[in-house]
Amino acid sequence: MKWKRILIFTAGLVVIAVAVAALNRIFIPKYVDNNQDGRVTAEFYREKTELDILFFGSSTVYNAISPVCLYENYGCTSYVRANASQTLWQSYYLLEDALRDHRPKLVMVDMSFMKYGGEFVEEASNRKALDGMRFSKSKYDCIRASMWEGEQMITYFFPVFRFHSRWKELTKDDFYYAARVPDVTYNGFIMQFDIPDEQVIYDREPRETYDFPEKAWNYLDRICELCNREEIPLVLMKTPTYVNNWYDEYDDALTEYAQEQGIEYVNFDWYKDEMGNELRTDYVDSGSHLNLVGAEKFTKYLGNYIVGRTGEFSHEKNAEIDKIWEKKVIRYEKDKTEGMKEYERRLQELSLDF
Amino acid sequence: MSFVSFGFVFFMIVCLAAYYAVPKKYRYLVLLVASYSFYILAMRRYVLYLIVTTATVYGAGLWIDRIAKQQKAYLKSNKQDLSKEEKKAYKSSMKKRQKTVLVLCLLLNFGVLAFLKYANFVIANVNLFRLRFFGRTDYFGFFDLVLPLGISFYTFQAAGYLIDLYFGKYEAERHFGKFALFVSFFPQIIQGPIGRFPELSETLFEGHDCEFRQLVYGFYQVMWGLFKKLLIADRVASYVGNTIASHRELGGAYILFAIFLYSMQIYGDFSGGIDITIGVSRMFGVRMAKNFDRPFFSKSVAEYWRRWHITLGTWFKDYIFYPLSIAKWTLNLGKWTRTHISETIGKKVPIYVSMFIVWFTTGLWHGAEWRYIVWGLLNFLILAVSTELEPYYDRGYALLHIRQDGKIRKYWQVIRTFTIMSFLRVFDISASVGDACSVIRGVFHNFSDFNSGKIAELGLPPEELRAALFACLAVLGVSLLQRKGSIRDRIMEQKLPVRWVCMAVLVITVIIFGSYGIGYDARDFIYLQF
Repeated sequence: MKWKRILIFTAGLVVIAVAVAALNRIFIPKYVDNNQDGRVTAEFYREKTELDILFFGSSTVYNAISPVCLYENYGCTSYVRANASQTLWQSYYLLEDALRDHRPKLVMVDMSFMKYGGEFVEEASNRKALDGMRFSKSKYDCIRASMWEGEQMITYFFPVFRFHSRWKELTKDDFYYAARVPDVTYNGFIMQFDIPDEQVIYDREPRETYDFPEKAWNYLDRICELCNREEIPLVLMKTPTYVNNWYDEYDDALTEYAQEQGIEYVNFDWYKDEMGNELRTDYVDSGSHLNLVGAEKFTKYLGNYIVGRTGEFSHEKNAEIDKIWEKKVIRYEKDKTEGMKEYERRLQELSLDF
Repeated sequence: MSFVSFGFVFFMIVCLAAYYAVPKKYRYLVLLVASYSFYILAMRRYVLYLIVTTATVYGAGLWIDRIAKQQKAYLKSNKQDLSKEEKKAYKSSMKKRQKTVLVLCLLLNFGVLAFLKYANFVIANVNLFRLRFFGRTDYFGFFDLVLPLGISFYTFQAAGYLIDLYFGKYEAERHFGKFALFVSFFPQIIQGPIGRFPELSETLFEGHDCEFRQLVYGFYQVMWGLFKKLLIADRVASYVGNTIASHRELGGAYILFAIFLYSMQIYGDFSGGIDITIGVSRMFGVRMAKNFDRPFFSKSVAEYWRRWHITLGTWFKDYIFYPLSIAKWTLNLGKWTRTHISETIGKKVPIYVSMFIVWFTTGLWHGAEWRYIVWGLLNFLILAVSTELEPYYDRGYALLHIRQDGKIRKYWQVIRTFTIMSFLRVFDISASVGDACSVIRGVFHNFSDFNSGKIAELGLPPEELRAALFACLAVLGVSLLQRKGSIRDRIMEQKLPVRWVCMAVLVITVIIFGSYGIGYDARDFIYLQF
């Protein structure tokens, strides 16, 4: 009788757990048609091959570096673990999380968000970066470092408590994708094909201080320590942009820091001409986010830089990797061809040369 | 720490685990530590007020008890030596001593409550009086006062204990820790119910066995409380608040809708909160007094007040109304009226004077503002008028051929009572007495304008409105079923799968359709402010 009770009680708990998991899946935004960047963190866990390079940063990175293009041109496997407005502490914990399954030959971290400290907190960005992260201590620590005071820790572990109010807007897709969401990124890269109607770049305004916040420094130190401990080479970088909120003083501080740490810092703004970067045709907005054309130009240039640093990549010992990546290439090229039609239409519409 | 927070859920899990982990005889200590932790987390240093009330009432209780025992022992040992008159004189002197202790302790505790709650109200009115009648603009400054959490509730509860002790209803609690728990028990300190010592102490101090049934039973009640709070009260709060605030620009139908919705809001909020309190207590095996008995089914205002906030009503009845109605001065006033005015009126004077004071105090208890006092006095007026008109009602119904025990009369009485109580509550939600009158006037103009677009604009989009109405219907349905006895009891008698399904439906409904989290304004319990 006692055993029967225990069995029934355990079965009840299992049913509750399944029900809660199902509710979480149904209510969490799916980020399939819109805001695809919300899928970047979760899709990483589907990666079955060993990765040569891991990239971290914000939206400027997931729009700028195409791992499939890198593979096609240099044979290296990579993943972009970047989210919209991803802060340094999020990059740190996503790196810590990634190193549980992968041992990359190189880690590259974008510094664009180095200028934001604890005051930079935005729920939507936190959600995109964290909702897809698997349960772990890294996730717990990352939530603690990222949350703003109005948020509740438990809602990150049980998203239904945050998104329950979506009951009004649930569609068939929410139930369909609750079971399985298709891949929407290309190893963390998000393809964009738009060109703005016009390009306006504003002058840089002088700032009161050019110091990076303490919290950002602290997590940059931790990133360096982690890579050091794991004996993984680290490169700090800045993707090519025309933004007016990046200053020479930032470059000076990061160059000095990199020298102290014995690592490299590269601002790819300095090489825009070499890579053939065009403000008018290579960005989806006013000089922050690259479209596919700009991204491929940058990726090829970046690949050249990486190969120059680490040497050639080869997966001859593991043919399975190439097999998997060939499939990725087919999907990428198919979607690229489709998207380029839209890009060319925009060029014609705006009377621009390509 | 709000009852409706993940923090409280965590707090409860820790408390329950600790309560059932320690030996039975120390379980009251877990509750005491939990209660003080809860209070300190919410009020920090203001816990001192709670300690002062606890210590003074505990001390006074022991003192009164000692006098009673002294008297008993003295009379016993001198039974043969004392004459009847001497015994009477001795008893009277001892009662006087007890009374002195009682009055001093009550003065101290009600004095603190009155000062914290009403000092600034008095100053504001004195300033206004001086300005109006003497043109004085040298205003008295206000005190920077913080009202400690639940002070009205724990002061009333402690005072009730002391008064009953004075009347010799029971002996004083000698164990300070247990008495401190009686005053501070955390589930009830926010908004009651106001417990009586003999009933509450029966289950509060005893270490209970960990019974799965008790836990589930309590959990059901907590979830039902959350259902009322999150699906009704917090959902309609925006609409009600916005409509009343901008009533001058709105048609009467929107205002009337807001007035009725506010009745549902305050019921969901207060009775929901009480359900959480009772459910949480039940999980520790502690039985709390009933505070609501389906008040919206009342057929008269008097009945409504016997079914709404029952423990406050009985407190006022037992400790103010009854003592006042048999007090010397009210009886003398009745006598004087009988002699000088009329026999019939004279008989009623002690009752109506006591009622007037009770309702004035009830209004004042709800808040230090004239609108609450007016609300209390309007309740008194309606109760007095309806008592006087009772015979005429019967004649009116007979003329209309409406049967005394017929359904038509019953439905009419229920709807009438609900409408009256809803309109009285306007004084509760309005900013001032003038504003409340303006809201009521507003109901009667431009009544034809009523559309869902405007309702959405005022804070209740169609889906939210449907959810709120569904929840109200669910509460109505449950209330109808409750006429045949407790629904929880009936669910607990069902087979396991049925019990699990009922629980799952309730929990999932609250999680999904509740108004909580980002995107909804977190709202405190309304009665917290009283």
